[in-house]
Amino acid sequence: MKIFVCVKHVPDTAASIKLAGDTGFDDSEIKFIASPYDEYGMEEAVSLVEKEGGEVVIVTVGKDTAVTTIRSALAMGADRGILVKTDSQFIDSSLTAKALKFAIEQDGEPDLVFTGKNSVDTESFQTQYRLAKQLGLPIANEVSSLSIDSGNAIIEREIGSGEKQVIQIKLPCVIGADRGLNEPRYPKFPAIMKAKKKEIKEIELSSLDLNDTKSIVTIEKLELAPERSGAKMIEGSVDEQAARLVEILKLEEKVL
Amino acid sequence: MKTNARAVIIGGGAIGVSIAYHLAKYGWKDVVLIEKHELTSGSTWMAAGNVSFYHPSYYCTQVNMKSIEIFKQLEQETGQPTGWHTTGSIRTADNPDRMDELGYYYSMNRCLGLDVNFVTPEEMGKLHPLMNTDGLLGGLYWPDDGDVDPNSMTQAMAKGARKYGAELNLHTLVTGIKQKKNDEWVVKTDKGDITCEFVVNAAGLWAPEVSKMVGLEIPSIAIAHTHILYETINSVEQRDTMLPLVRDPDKSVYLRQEMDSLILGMYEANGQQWKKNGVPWDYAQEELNPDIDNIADCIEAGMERFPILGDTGFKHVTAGPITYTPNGDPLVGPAAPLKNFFQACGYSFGITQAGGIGHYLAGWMMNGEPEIDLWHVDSRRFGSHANWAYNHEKIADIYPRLYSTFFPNEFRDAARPNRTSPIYEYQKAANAVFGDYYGWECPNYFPPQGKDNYNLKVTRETPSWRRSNAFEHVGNECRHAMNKVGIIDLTRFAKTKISGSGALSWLNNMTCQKVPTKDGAIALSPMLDHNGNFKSDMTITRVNEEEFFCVTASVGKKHDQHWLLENLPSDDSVKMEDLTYKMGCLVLVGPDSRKVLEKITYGDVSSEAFKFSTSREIYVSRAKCRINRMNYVGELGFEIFHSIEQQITVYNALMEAGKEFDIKLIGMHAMDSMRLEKGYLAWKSEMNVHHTPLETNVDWTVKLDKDDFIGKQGVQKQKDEGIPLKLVCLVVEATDSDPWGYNPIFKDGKKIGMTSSGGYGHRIEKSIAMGYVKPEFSSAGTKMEVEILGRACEAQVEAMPLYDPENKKMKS
Repeated sequence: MKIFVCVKHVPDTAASIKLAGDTGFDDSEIKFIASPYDEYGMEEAVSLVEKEGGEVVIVTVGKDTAVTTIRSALAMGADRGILVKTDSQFIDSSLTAKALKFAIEQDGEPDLVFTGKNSVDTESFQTQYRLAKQLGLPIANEVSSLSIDSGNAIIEREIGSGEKQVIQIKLPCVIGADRGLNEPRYPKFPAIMKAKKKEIKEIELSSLDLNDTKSIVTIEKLELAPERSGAKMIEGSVDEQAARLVEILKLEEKVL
Repeated sequence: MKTNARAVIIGGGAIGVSIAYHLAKYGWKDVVLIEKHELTSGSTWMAAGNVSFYHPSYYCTQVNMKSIEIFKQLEQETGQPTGWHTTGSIRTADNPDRMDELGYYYSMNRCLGLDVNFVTPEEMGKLHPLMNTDGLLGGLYWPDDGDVDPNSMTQAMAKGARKYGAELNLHTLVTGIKQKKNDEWVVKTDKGDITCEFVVNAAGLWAPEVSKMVGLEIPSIAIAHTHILYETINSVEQRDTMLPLVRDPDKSVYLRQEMDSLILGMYEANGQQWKKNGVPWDYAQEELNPDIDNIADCIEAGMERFPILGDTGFKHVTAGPITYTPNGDPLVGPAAPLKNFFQACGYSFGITQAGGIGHYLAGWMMNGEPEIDLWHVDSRRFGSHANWAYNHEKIADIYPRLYSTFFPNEFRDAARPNRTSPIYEYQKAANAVFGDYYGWECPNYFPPQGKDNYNLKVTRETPSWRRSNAFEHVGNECRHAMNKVGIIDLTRFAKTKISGSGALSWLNNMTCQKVPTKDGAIALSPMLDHNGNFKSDMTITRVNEEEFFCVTASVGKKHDQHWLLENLPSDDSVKMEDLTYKMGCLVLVGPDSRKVLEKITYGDVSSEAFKFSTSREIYVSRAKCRINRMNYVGELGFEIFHSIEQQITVYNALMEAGKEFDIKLIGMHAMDSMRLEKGYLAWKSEMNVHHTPLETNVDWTVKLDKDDFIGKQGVQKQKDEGIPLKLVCLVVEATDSDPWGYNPIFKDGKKIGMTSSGGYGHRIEKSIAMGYVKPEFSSAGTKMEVEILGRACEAQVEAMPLYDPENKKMKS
């Protein structure tokens, strides 16, 4: 099987973001990671290929620093990577999907394409759908279980209230991976060292034969979410603490 | 937030919170801590949490012991779990030098009564089944070591601190610190000002910034330290008992169990300094990008020792900033030249010491003196040479060597030279092997050129716990001083001029000795602390009724001058002037020294005209010098103090005049050997906060019949009650490794004391130790055993001094 995994290079959710200008942030020092949902896709792809043979190709659209995220995917067992390089911090899902499509098609015909169910930075929930449209493939998103059976993917997806939907899709298709699909493996040191020697092909976004390399969606202004201060210490016995916590969540914070 | 407080602690990491906890617990009201973010958000959050007894210093080991004692009871006291586990720990050795070093720790730890054992590779394999013991020669095992959860432990102490009445203010940023005329401090914050008596800088990553607010430059820079948490390991998960912490210093890694897996930490060759020009105030608890390539060698080394790591995934790689200082040890205690401003920063093993240093620093602040001698971590051990640039170079050198073998005779090359005597180039030309003392380049010895591979470019002493390649050359220098004449460069001496109408009576209050009543007289004049214990080793020369020339140990300059300054009267009746960098000192020693001096002085230097232990102003060649007829080696000798700019003039005159007497340069190693033979005490070895002069052979300097002096009550009390310990000189049957200090002394299997320093006496050809023993064992002829590197050596008390007991040579 030839499996492509689309991986996004995103700031660690614990990173402290400092804005730079109106529409950007200082990315020179913060820690970046592979978007966590993409990791479920990586793991699924790597274990499928371990079972069935073939290769896993990581495709990323991002700045040149995104190469570290591709390396971490290669350390999990993917075979090679493609980086579509862009200079901007944000490109919208439409352009991302086009770039991914181009990179995938240039490389060969996919049997399966994985994405995460969404990225943890912009959380647009769109790229996977747009990519499927671009590739002309069916898509299932928020997939928490997958098996391959004679040219079909049988998937399960959560549809709320604990209900699960089971769908059969013909391969090739796009799968948006969700938590539960697997437990992504942790990279081992020998694999990390091996990953350093694996091929990463770099393509300039501007060199792609896209009609337009401008994003449809542009960012007008970025603002930090207001800092939540004033942690409350709940005192008392465990029962009292629990009761008080529920009360706060219900009445004061109104999240329950 | 309180606007008035007894003490304000800046920084809510493990160290600051522990100080607040202990101050409040021991009874200080109005203790306020300010933290600009949340507790633990500087470095504490990323600490590995290893807590072991191990530290190269005897006194720091005691700090660690106190920490473990505190951590073990903290949960019971506060109700807040600390995550303490007693796991034991192993320190491995794969080469003989490392085994020697472990031998030193073993013996030093036995001075403290610690449970510590040598273990064989087989035993280590049993203690830690995942360890591949190939290549190991042995190790040390401390069964009572463990680990703690840094965050939980800090929260527990915070809970305790609040319980005892301390106020902990989070999200409160210090913006400035000022001292008022009445010595009160005002700590300015973004939430308002706090007026207080004491300030403690426990600001960790930001401690240099906080120090700048009070005009200090402290040597502390952060390095991104990395440790790796591995995924679940079945064989660890299935264990009933915790695996011991393993430190493999030869591979520069540590490994400990964390839940059902392992954490590997490391000190890589190329430690990355982080924000070395100053950590931004808005940094808080954020992981840094780990640089796997930079630590790959250490990870591989870890896999060699623990093969299972090669087959186990990285669950999380944590890189975070931790502060380091030029020698890797923290900056603690009173900050010179300030009053009531304490440092507690520069920590790279803050969790290990958090409990203990909180206890000891709180005691220091409350009582004015530390309960144990903390010179090893005292912020004043770094002079003004330890500026940012020095620090930057030195820390680059120290980080990868945090696990390198510790030797008593090693002087690292990094960030040198700093301070040099004007004759430095002459010393170099004479093939000096230099040591650095408080930033000064000072020759340790002068090997003959061309011998033993020495030449002008390669002049290095082999670091060793055994007698080194310097031994023979040092012996030659001692014999030269005994038979001929030599020059010792002690330009680095700390020199202070005390003058004014109140100088005499003030100095009499500062020392237990009677300040000389005759012009030109010299007196060994120890300064004592409030308990009567040694504060400083000082020699006072009376120039005239209103002027005194005071000389103290070079390495204690900042410490001693801080003490003088703190006690200086405010009425201007006493003036203090630092002459250290204005005057050099060349010490002419040996039986021919007078003959050399006679040739070039304009003055009578005969024994009749210039008596022992007196001082005169004499022209040496064209330089007006102050010559003190005394020395630290016990030969006829003259300490020639001169204006620094005339040193080369004086030096060349001495060398020229000395040619016919075969004059030679003599280094520090020879001086130290000779002072042992003479029973002369060394500051912070024999003279520290645990001993009064009454316990030593300078008991005669204590003049209890004199008016009040600092420490008088303490020494009087000890005199009345009897001394608990007595300094003795031991001749030790050592063959190739001398007792350097902190060796336990046993009699009939029972510990009766500890050595304070030692070495080989080349003039008497014996291995010597000085040490404190119970008085009943102090009479000459008493036999005992001194343990060196884990091996017992026979020893016998001998009358001091061993060399020239009647001082005939000095007085000749």
